Amino acid sequence: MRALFVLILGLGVPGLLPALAVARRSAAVIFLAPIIGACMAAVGAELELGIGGSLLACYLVVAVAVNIGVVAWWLAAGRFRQSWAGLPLDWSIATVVVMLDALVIPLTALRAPLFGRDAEQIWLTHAMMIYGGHHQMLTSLTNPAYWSGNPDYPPLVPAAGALAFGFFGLGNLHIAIDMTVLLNACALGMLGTGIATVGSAGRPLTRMCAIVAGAAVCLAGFAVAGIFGVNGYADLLWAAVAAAAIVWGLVLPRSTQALSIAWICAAAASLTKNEGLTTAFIVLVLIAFRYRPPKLPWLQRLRAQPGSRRDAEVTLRQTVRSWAECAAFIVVPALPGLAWAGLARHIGLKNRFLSSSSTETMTLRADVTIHGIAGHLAVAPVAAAVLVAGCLFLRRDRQRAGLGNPAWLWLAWLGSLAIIFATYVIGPLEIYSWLANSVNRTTIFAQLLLYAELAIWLVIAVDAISPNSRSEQPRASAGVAETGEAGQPHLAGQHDQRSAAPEGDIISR
Amino acid sequence: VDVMHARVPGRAAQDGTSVEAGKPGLAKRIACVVVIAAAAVMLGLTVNHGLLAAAADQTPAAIKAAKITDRVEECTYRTIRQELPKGAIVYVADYWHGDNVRLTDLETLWTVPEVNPAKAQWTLSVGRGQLCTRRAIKVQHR
Repeated sequence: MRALFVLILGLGVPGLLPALAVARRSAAVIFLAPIIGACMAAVGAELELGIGGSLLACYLVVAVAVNIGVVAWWLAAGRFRQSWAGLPLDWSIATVVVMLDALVIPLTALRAPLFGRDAEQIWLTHAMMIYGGHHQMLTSLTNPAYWSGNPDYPPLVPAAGALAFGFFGLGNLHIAIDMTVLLNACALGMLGTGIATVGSAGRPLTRMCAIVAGAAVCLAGFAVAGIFGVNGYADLLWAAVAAAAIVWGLVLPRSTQALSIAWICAAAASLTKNEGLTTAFIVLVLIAFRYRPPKLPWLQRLRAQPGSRRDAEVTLRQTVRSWAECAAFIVVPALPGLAWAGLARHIGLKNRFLSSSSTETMTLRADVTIHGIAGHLAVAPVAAAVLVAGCLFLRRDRQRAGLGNPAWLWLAWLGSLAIIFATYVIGPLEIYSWLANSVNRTTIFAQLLLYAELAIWLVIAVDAISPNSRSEQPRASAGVAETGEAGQPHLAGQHDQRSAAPEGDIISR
Repeated sequence: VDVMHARVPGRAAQDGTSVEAGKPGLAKRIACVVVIAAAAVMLGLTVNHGLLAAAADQTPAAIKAAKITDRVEECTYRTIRQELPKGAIVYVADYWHGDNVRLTDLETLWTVPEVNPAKAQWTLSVGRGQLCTRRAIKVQHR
């Protein structure tokens, strides 16, 4: 109960205003607010390490600055601000109730105070370091005695634990573990509400189906993670927020609202674990290519008709601007995660998984890794079969719904798996024991994403097969601007319908 | 976010195709049933597996075992603070392995772990005994 108190009061309340500004009436607000609070706490921990002071002071500064920024934006945006229209409130409430009901079931495991090995050696220890203030944090992270605990790991999870210590002291160490488990649930809630949103404007049957599918994915997340979802490990957290970033940023129709939520989720993943940072980077690149496909008007113009020098300069400027915007879409949301990586490098912390090379041959390591990873992807053949069936028979339904091309999701899946595979192959640890100890956790993201993909196709299929499925209400959300994208990946700006976006919408520029 | 906004009868979809009237064809209906069945079965099986595993982890015996482990952690944490002065430089024998790792973790904020025994004032190690139920902590002043 104490951890829940900290989650609500310590993380949820400071994150509520930004969450409302971003998600408005969406059910995601309930889960987004603590995630935003945790991100702000992580940035506070970065300030604590980089500048000085205590976590509470730095967190207060970040939270106040963010909330002032949101209020200022709210006032300044004025007429450009999107309306609050969106999902009917009763459906949002129903979504929240169903998601919370689903998440409460695995959370009953908190009755047994489990202490995972990494939960103590990495996250609890780092939480105590952060709680101790700048000097303690700096000297401990750089102390070789702690180097087995991966001191370069990002600070979101320990910052949340340290915040709990700030509320209740060090009398109950397990509160830090409880905070991680509750954040796991919030992250899955973000994923579940994203899937529920896929059917949010369909018939009542489709909506209900989408909500149930979202709740099922929440439960599937805890099922895939197993004991690691409830004993203080952070793998489920980064996997769930990264999967949520994909659903909000690469599956749901393009809108400022969905983009902002995807960015926050990606930032949370990048602040949770090193694997989360690399995966978030892949997701952000794909989101940038979907929302701001870099163009080459300069090249196209040269090919078509060589114009005057002035024309060439104009087109060159357009090209540079296009690429700069695309780069900004990647770098800006990744800044908190990159800042931690830079800080860690600056104070001399090294990633022990990439610091030396193994004596085993690459071929052997690759072979063993493929078998190890494949053993945890039993859902992949089914998901691939559903993808093929969906693309053959439900492609137009997906297009009409304005959902992103499934290729985005699968590219993110493949990219993340490729990085994890490469880490195992070039890493220094003995491959058999390394896989035995970690592959069930490093594949949580890949599994979770495939279950999300199944749930999305399930909602589309239910909507397609249900009677009078096309007699739906006009669009309610002013933030939605994209339709008909699903046919081709939006890599070169084709089918650009951004003019449909409301004035001031980030995607309309 | 409204995602089904193009579904208005008789209105052309925004991708330029006309919205078909009537029911979907047989092949499409079969495909829908297959997709729904495959997705529902996979999700259902996984959820069921998760619920069964969660139930197994919450038997009275499992909860009791977890509480004992939790108490050992708390006890170790308190013992370190009772036996060692604040700020002491402590060497933990074989500090990267087994329960010794936990000593290093749980002394955080109280003492300063040192990897070089020659520079340490105290040595901590785990031994056999009844202290903290499962774990005995041996403290030696150098």
